[in-house]
This record gives sequence, C-alpha cells and structure tokens, in this order.
Amino acid sequence: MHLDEEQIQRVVHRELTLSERATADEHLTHCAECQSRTVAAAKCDVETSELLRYLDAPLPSVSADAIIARAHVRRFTWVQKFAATFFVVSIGGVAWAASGSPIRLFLNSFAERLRGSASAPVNSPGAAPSVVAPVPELSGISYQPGQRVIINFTQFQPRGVALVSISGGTEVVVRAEAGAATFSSSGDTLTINNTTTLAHFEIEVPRSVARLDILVAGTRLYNRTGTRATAPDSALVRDTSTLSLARPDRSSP
Amino acid sequence: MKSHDAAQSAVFSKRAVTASISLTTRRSSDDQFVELFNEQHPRLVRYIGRLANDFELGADIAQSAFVRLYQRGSVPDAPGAWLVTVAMNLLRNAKSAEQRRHRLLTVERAERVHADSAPSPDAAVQSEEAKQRVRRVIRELPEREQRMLLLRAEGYSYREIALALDVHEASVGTLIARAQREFRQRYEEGSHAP
Repeated sequence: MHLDEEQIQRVVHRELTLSERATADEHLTHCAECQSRTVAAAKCDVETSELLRYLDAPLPSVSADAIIARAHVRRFTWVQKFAATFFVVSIGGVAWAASGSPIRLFLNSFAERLRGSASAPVNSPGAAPSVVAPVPELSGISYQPGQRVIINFTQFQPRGVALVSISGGTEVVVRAEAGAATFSSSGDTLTINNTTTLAHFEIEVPRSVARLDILVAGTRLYNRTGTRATAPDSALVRDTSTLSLARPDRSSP
Repeated sequence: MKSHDAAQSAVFSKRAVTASISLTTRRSSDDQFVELFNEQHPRLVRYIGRLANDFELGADIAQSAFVRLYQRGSVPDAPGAWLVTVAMNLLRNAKSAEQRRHRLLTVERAERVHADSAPSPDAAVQSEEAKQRVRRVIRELPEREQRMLLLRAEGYSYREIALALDVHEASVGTLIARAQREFRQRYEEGSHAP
C-alpha cells in the first residue's frame, strides 16, 4: 500500500512522529513510486518557496525593545488621558467651589448677560432696583479729606443707591460700576455726575471727618455731624446708611 | 529539573501546544517576549508583506500584533498561530480602511528598492517579469490556498496553519500540495502565454 498525499507532504515537511516517520521510511526504501512522488513533492516545495521570494522586500529593522517601548507608551497614554481628565475636572471643581472664584463670577456674569439679552431689559422703568451681578470693572475716586466733606450727586436717579459707611481709614473712597458716573473734587466738595438711571455707589468716609453732607441735586439726603447721623428718607444702621438716590415722593403719607 | 527546562523551551518551539504560561514565571517576561519576537517577527512580516503585497504595511501590522501580544501579558498556546490570526485581522481592518489606499502608494517604492539590488539590466527585466507573474498568480489564487502557500513557505507548522486558517490539521499536507500544484500550474501557464 502506497503513501497517500498527506503522508508524502508530512515526510517532506517533517511533520511525522518518530514512529510514523519510521514506518514511512521503511516503505520508501522499497517503493520506487513513492520515492519518486516524495522527491517531486520536495522539489515542488523548494521551487514554490523560491518563486515566492520574488514577492519579498528588505525586512525593516525592528527590535523587540522598540515593540516593548511602544506597548508601554500606549498603555501609559491611556492612563495619562484618564489622569489628565481627572485632574482637569478636579481643578475645575475646586476653582468653582472656592469663595470669590473668578470662574464662578465670570459664569454668573455670563449667565446674567444671557438672561438679560433673552428677557426684558433690566433698566425698564418701574422695576425694583436689582442687585447687579458682580462686575469686574469699577470706577471711582479716593482722596484725603479735610474736616468737612460734601458729596453732591448732580441729579436724582430713579434706581440709584448709595451705601455710605464710616470707616477707620484716612481717605474718602467712592466706587461705582464703570461708566455709571464721573467724579471731581474741589475743596470740601466731591461732585458725582451721575448720568444713568441705575447705579450702585459705595461711599467710605473716614470717621475723623467732622461733618459729612450728601446731597442729590441740591437736596440734602444725609448729614453726619460728629457721631450723629440723620437721613430722613433712608435706613441708618450704625455706621452704615443705605440712601436711595431717587427723587423723594412728598405726596405719599 | 532537566525535564522542566525542556518543557519550558517547548512552549516556544514551533510545535508548542502546551497551556498558556504566564510571562511572569521564572525568566523575566521581557526576556521571553524578546525570544519569541526574534523567532516569530521576520516570518510574520514576510507572510503579511507577501499577502498584502506591501512590506511596509506588513511591518506595521507585525509590530501591532507584537504590541498586542506584549499587552496581553501571557503567551498563548500556539503563539505563531495567534500572531498570524491577529495580524490577519489587522490586515483585514487596514484593507477596509481608507489608509489602505494611501499605503498602496508606497508599494512601488518598496519594489524599486528591491529591484535596485538586481545585478544587471537583463536580470532586472527577467526578475521584474517573474515578480509580476508571481504576484498576479498569488492574487488570483483562492484566499485559503493563498494563505496556505505563504504560511508553509514561512515554515509555520501544520498545527499553526490549521489554527490560523481554521482547517483540520490532518488535512493540512493535502491542502498544501493542492495549493502548490495550483500555483505552479498557473505560473507555468503565465510563462508560456504570449
């Protein structure tokens, strides 16, 4: 019985076990036909391999170390991406939660602007004075006063507010949103040319000032002489007064 | 002790059939990987390069296959067959991707490099003709015979071929013989064609 094609191929390719190989060799010793088929199969195998070499190009020079490095880089990159995301989210969270966070102020301001553009104008007549979201840009004035200070707002403001506080400092300080007013001082008088309908003024006056008068369009709103303060149309809370810059309504009871 | 060493080395032989061995045992994992790389990398590049008719792509894919093997953390039962299977999947993906079209542009450059080593103009012409014919015949063969032929030419064992191509190991020799006959017959027909 002759070797079949599978056996001949396995002889050529050395894919036989030792016992199978012994059996095949024994047969090939006596069988010229199988010898011939085996030689032809081996020849075909070699020639095919030779022909396939025509397909070859020079092999690239790559080291196992380079592969290992690449494998580590990929793994590290994944971890790095996760860590970077975690880091950014953490920093963002801390920045948001911190008191006085500029990120929160910015976002609040941005949201306020969006709301303002989407809904009715904030400055609509008749609306109650609203607390404006923190505005990063302020304007104002500060100077060393004498014994007397007169602060004169040039006109009434329907929704203007002045927060007056007596400070332990040495300077008169007035702050407002940028563009709300212009300031000038001459002698004892500080003139605030308030041109808008809405403004929020913060006024600090040193306790050392003997007399302080605050007027709006020539009408006195506030007087402080020594330690005694009078502000008939406004609330007085110790050293702090909140003055409305609106025209007083004398018709109401 | 001797038998243990023999078993260890058998894992990385071409006939390795043993169970997976953790890369962390005994020798350092990187040493085992380097040994496997040195044994398997050249023939994997040649196999994929011949199959794709693009040795640059073959090199890229072989590298990616080895990266995956390293990241796998352990050596598979038959590492040669495992690498071939992974590389063929990567090749399939690459072929379907747009980048494949781009990479084909580099084939001619690789061919020129190869042709530059020809000793004489006549030999270069003959070599170029033979190369084109071999390439055409390989391309025209059925996919399984194509792969069978190329895997055998790289010395992959019958077991590795059976695993990689999902055929019965007992019939691998017959399939190889059939593929070789088919290839030789088509090649000879091409050489006699006008």
